[in-house]
Amino acid sequence: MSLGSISQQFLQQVETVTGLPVHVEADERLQPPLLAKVQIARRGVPLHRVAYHPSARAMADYLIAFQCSFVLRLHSMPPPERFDLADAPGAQPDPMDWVRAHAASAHLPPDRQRAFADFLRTSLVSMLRSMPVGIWVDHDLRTRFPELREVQEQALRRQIDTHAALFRPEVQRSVPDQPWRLSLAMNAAFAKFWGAELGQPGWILPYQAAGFATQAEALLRQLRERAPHPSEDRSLINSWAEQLGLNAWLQWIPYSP
Amino acid sequence: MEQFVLPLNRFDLGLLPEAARDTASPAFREAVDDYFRRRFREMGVNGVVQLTGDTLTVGWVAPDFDPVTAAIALCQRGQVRDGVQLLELARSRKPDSPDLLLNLGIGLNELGEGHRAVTILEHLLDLEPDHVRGLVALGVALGRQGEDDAALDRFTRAVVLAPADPWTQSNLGGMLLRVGRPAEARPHLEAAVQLAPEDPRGWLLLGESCLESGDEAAARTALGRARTLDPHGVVRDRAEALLNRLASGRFPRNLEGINREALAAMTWALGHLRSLSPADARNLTLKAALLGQHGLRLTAPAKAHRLEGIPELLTALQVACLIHAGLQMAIPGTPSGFPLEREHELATANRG
Repeated sequence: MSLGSISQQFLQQVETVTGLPVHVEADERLQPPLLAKVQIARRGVPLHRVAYHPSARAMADYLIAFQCSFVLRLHSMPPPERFDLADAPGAQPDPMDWVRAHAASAHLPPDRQRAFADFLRTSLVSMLRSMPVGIWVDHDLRTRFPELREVQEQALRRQIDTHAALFRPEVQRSVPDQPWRLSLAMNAAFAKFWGAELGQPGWILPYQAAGFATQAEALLRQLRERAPHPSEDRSLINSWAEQLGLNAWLQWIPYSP
Repeated sequence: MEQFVLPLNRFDLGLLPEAARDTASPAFREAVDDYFRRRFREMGVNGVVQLTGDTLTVGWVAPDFDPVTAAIALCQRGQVRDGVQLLELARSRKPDSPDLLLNLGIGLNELGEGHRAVTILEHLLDLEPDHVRGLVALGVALGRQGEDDAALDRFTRAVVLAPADPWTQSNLGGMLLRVGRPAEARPHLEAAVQLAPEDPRGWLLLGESCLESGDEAAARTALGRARTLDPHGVVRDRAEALLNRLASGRFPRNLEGINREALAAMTWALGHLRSLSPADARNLTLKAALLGQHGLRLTAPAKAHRLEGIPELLTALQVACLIHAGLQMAIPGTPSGFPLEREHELATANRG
């Protein structure tokens, strides 16, 4: 598969702006719902890395543009205003409490409970970091690059489908109630935004039926109240975390290239 | 078709009239049904609500819903199992739709249900014997079952019917290659890359056929093209592997990474080049490169090459060493395309 002109343009732009190359690769270790991810060069690593799942190869052009946008947003800020989101272990709420109270996990040995709790925390932080700003990024791509729209819609739909799997009874049983609700609140905001944007009123339907419509609206209000400028990224992420009661988890540290 | 499943205990009771909030009551079920019917009307879709035990299943389709188009879209999104399920459902209403049968056959084959795929695609070809895509899909399914001759027959028929279709040409070429007939595969693969020059898979197969027929120079070109066209994918990985095989396959090295014959040839080449004036050394390198442009089989010592200005016959390895050493003398660090860096390093160090 050859890269299209738009992703090449983005890769070039990242290399020019940051002075570092971007390594792009298909990586089948990415776990659903992750279609792609970016590792921004930091702490002396001399390259950025964009990985996408091989099953999303047909969407690679869009996925690369999407991931590169995060690098460009960070580097569009003056150096003292570039921040990284760091882990804040021990902050409340403690996911270990969720795991210990969860029927399907209560019998697990402590090290596996700890691993599960860490997984829940990092998954939620990752959603907080990428979903609200990702909506801005996607909206910007949709406006500026009509030629990406078809594949972008495929990717968005695929995310909607993957998110909806959280409703499945077997998935619900395997996840404690609190992180399940927190994920669903963010997914509901995503479904509501893109459902309205792409004329898919049914995308929000399961979330409405499960009572997440109000939370979704509150999260989307945070998006609408801000200009989609990179200088607002931190504030937007903080506002979502606050709405969800996860603000103690966020620890911003200066970005170190 | 859109669908979701929700355990009843997760339904937001606040959406229902107070009198219907007891989940065990018939009024609850009625109210849930009514809630979704209203939503379907607002959305302008045809929907269905199923309450089974503790689970609520909700599905809906647009009034102009076409299952084949929807199934193809699902398959393109990687949801092959869902796409196939939809086509199977639709088959009862459209048992002889060529589009449906083709996509169902392809989907089943992708899911590893080869026998069923063959049956479906054979039915399609009973209805339309000259269905080119059907012939190719059947060939692919038969090939996966190990029925190479039958697959070859379907691919050949497809090429006769549609010689200007790169898909037919590349599949026939690929199968010929698989059954050990690389020379016959090559013209089909050349046609395929001419018809679809941006398809890395066609170039990869062409490279393989050239390699298998012993034309290493053409293989190198085709594999290089495949690698360029698919810089991050599986085709690139396969092309890289074959290019590496070309460069160093059957080229034994000792524990220090040195091939003794190559070291001897390199020592000879360096000595010879250094005995010449810089201009003569450059000329000899150029002549060697011209000789090598059609490919040199480093591991075929029996084949002799004659180079103007050198009385004795040379092995391919000696010619390659002349090219590599001459290039390093002219522009150090220039890649020659031959895996002779270690031998050059050691021979240079030995000669001082």
